Amino acid sequence: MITRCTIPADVACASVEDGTVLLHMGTKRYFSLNDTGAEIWRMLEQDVPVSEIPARLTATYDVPLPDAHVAVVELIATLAEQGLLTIEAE
Amino acid sequence: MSAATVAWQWGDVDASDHGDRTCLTHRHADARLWVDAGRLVRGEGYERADATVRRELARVGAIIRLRARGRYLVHAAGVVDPHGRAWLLSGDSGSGKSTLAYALARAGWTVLGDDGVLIERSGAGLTAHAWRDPLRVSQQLADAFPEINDRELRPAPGDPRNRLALRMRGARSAPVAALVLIEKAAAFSFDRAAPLTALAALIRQSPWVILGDAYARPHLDLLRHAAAQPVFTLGHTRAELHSLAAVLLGAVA
Repeated sequence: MITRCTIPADVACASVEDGTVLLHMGTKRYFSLNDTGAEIWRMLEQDVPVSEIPARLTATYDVPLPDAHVAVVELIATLAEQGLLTIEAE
Repeated sequence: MSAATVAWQWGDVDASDHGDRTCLTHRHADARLWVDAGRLVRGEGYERADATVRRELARVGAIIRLRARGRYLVHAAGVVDPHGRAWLLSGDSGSGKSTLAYALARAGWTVLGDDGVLIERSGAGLTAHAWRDPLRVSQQLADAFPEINDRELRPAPGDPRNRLALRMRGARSAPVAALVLIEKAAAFSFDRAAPLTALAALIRQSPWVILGDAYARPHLDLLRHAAAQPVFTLGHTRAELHSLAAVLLGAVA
């Protein structure tokens, strides 16, 4: 289970009204997040516990809690795979 | 989530990161120039390289150094309309930047750059500065622009696109009216671009943003600011070459 995520120092982000772009200075790659992904990223930046993020998403978006949970876990896994996050798990 | 690799190249120059230093290598000459703490330092093979190679390396060095002054190069043609406002036509190589810039120059607009324009934040807006290069227009466009055959110009040897270098009336700088993300298309289209689309396109066309130096974050912030300006997508055909000025002027009051 993921307990905490940290954003590496060589990742920069820029948000616009419909999403966020992440730049990885180490791998020289950039990534686009849609508005839902950007909302999850914002919560990770604010150090919101990963376990709380799905419930907070359901308050903003019309999405069932199990679907929100899957979306959060999948996005975090993808971001970690690309070196955009480091994960602590138990 | 979508991903794209950022190219570290400008013309025939490749750039690579070495901490706070950047190494610029010319592909055809085995010559290097370093950008170290804002200074250009000659590297291996630089002294032996011919003047053209040294100039190309120095221009890319200047692109990196100018970031320290808050000016960032974007891969775009820049033109200034009769109201004194700059329009940046941005797109991949072969998307028609020079052709459209030339079409607008024929209509009386002035030119900031053919393949690159410097942008700088100015309050809530953006200012574009010249990055001088002659416009390079394909000889194959002589049917649309018959006068290019009258100039007794020849394409540069080895240019597969048979482009003619044309000197047009230039501008030094102007406040930006809009950015236009252009591509050749089967049918004309002109639409407002979503901010995320605009930001991703600007990153692609300003790949120096990914340099791992102290200016990467200010550079990214400037591109975010640019994406918040009016941005349009233009799919163009030859049919618009003589009506583009009216299309653009009708889009921004």
